[in-house]
Amino acid sequence: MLTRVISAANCGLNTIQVDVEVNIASRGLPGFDIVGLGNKAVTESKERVKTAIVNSDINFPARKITVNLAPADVPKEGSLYDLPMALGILKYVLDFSVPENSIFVGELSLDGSLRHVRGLFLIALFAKEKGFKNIFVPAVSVKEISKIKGINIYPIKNLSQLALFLTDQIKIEPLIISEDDLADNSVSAEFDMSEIVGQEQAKRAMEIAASGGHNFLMVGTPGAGKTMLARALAGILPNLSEKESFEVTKIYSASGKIPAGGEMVKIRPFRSPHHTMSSVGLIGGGTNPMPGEISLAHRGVLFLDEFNEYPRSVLESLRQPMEDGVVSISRSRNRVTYPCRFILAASANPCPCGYLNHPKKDCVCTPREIEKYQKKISGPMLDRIDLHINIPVVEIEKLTSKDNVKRESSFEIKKRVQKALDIQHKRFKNDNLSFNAEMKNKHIKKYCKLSESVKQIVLRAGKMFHMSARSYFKIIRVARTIADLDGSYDIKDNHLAESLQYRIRYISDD
Amino acid sequence: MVKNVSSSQNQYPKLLKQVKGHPQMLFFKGKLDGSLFENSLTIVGSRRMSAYAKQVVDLIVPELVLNGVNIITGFTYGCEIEASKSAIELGASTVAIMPCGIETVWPAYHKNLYNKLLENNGLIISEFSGKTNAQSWMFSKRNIMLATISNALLVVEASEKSNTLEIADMALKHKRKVFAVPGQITSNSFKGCLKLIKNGAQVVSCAGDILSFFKVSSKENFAENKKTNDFSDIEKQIFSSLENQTMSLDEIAKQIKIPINECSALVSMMQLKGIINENNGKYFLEKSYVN
Repeated sequence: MLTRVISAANCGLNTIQVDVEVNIASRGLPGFDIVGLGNKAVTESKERVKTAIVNSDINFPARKITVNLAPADVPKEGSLYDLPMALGILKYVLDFSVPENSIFVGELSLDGSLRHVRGLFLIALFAKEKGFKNIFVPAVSVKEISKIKGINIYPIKNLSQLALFLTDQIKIEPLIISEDDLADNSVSAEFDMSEIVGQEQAKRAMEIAASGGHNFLMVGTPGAGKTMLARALAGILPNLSEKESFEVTKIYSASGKIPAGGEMVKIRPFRSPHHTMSSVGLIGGGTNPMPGEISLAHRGVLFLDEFNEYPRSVLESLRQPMEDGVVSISRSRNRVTYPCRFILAASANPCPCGYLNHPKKDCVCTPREIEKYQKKISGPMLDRIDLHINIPVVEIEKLTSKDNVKRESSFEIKKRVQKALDIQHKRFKNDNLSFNAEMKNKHIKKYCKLSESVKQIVLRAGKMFHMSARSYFKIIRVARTIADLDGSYDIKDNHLAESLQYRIRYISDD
Repeated sequence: MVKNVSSSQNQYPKLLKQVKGHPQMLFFKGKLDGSLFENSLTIVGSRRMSAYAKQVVDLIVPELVLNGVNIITGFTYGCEIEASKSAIELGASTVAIMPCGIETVWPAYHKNLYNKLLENNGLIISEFSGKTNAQSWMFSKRNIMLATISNALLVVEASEKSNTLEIADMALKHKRKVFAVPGQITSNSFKGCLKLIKNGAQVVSCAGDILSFFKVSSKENFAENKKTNDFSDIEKQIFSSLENQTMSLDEIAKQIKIPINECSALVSMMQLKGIINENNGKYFLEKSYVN
């Protein structure tokens, strides 16, 4: 007797339908074989399936069982085919009809209960798009897909419950989609902006970066507060929209970053990988390519502390994905594309010892060492960074003195950031952009019309600071964000003048 | 093209010839002209130039150059390069004394400036031939030349234990006139200068101090300040805070009590107007506004 159960396989962010064909032969020696290019986890599932059925007090047929995962030439991995295989066998034993238009996904535990699997979110989205009516998933994973509308989600606790349901002895209610707001308004950063003393210019730069999605580089002596500022940035990032949340959750689900019982990603990711990271770790890769840090930071922040310490090859591999917002990873067996639109937050010391231009401590580096250190970051890389921020040393006296100056909290700043972002969304509704930082030259020509006096300032600044064409566009993009923060339709003189403070400052311009 | 001159020839720098143990042979590029060493001032200073030292160089060197003083430096990073640069930018012929073989461009970083110096009829001189790289023992030999080749020496910035201070001590020993720029007594990078002043170096507070030694009166009048009348009130406030010290953007904003975004815009505009300038995040007044 042949039974066909529908399941799915993920490859990158793409999902394909997999037919799990279970044949139970009436002749031949008892046995259990799986064909269809499964990896170790798939071939091992026969032991899990067998034991789970036996432990659920259901007879396991002493017959020749053959399972085929079609299409048979696509490599399959993971434990999600446990449930469809078991279902095929149960159908032979208990004689029910498998629900039509349904997808089954789940890993079996030896006691017959269902366990969480990787990539469930992608499969549920796929099922909905392909017009499937029902999806049967492990009950523990149901929160992950609870926002997907238009498909009946059946949470299954264990094999016996499913058997009782399919033989019409009990009822399982499909999940009711909760309509509550997706956005999480709580500020979840390690530090609040109000905790940071001084550094007004840097805080302002964070606000601009968060509003316009600009990449930024902080340079300052050790202990000046670079890391603290970057961590506080997480608290002023604007809320994740529902569309963005879906994009991010897809990546997190595909890479197995959503644990059992985990929900959709609601806040913007903040990733801070260590500088010993490999380029595969950053970009993504593996035989079956997994998302790297840049994709995990999609719609969020990628914080690279000690920017100069990363191997040059690793940093240079960032260039193309940063420009395109997507990264294609090609391996011999697979080619996948992951999105990667993130804010690059980088911090660096000014020299190897760290105390260049320190008011009290002396720098012990030679000019040659400093030059070499600063040149570790290539020109094209610096060109992709919109905001260059100098982080001065904060004097200890200032930290200890009880000044009564009220500093702004992250919550207040976030409100302004959100407002600026709303303006940008309105502006870009026909352009498939979300942030000012993503504007290309044609968008700048369209949305950043400069008045005569602003043009004069740009020209003068260009001459004085030896600005390239690319830095000219960067200045205008930043000025656009500053104008948005101000709620101004036009870019005014003071907006552009302020943006000049964040221009790149070359070490030597001979 | 490399040429050489021996100590028996007339072209050999006269003051150097009087020093015991002077090099027998000098190698040079450019035009060796005795007039380059008349009315000449050797400028030395720290490799790690502070914002203040840059301000001093910008203030003093152009006025000296425009009044016909020849500038000699060791072409080292920091103060010396900065001094050479401002002289070369004004089209003056300057002298650079190298610690390496005459055919080596040192520091390689400043190759453009090196070529410009030669274009301006300047002189590059060394006691070493060939393409030898600079070694530490060569520096100390070069330092003797720096200390004695001219009548006067200006120390822009020197810490307590430094090459710069050694050169200055040597110059004092050889009865050269030594000028030193006073710095803050709390600053390590000026301890050497202060020590020199105690030991008989002359304090420099304006270019005139040096010009009067050369018996030249300033033809170019730098003292006339640009007018501050057309400044707005807040610009005047920023201006007057910067009159006393160099300040970062945060410090200016705090002192004037305005939000940082307004302050950023104002300071940018003032920089574009040429009123103030910035070095390593610290703002200071442009030289034409310093009295």
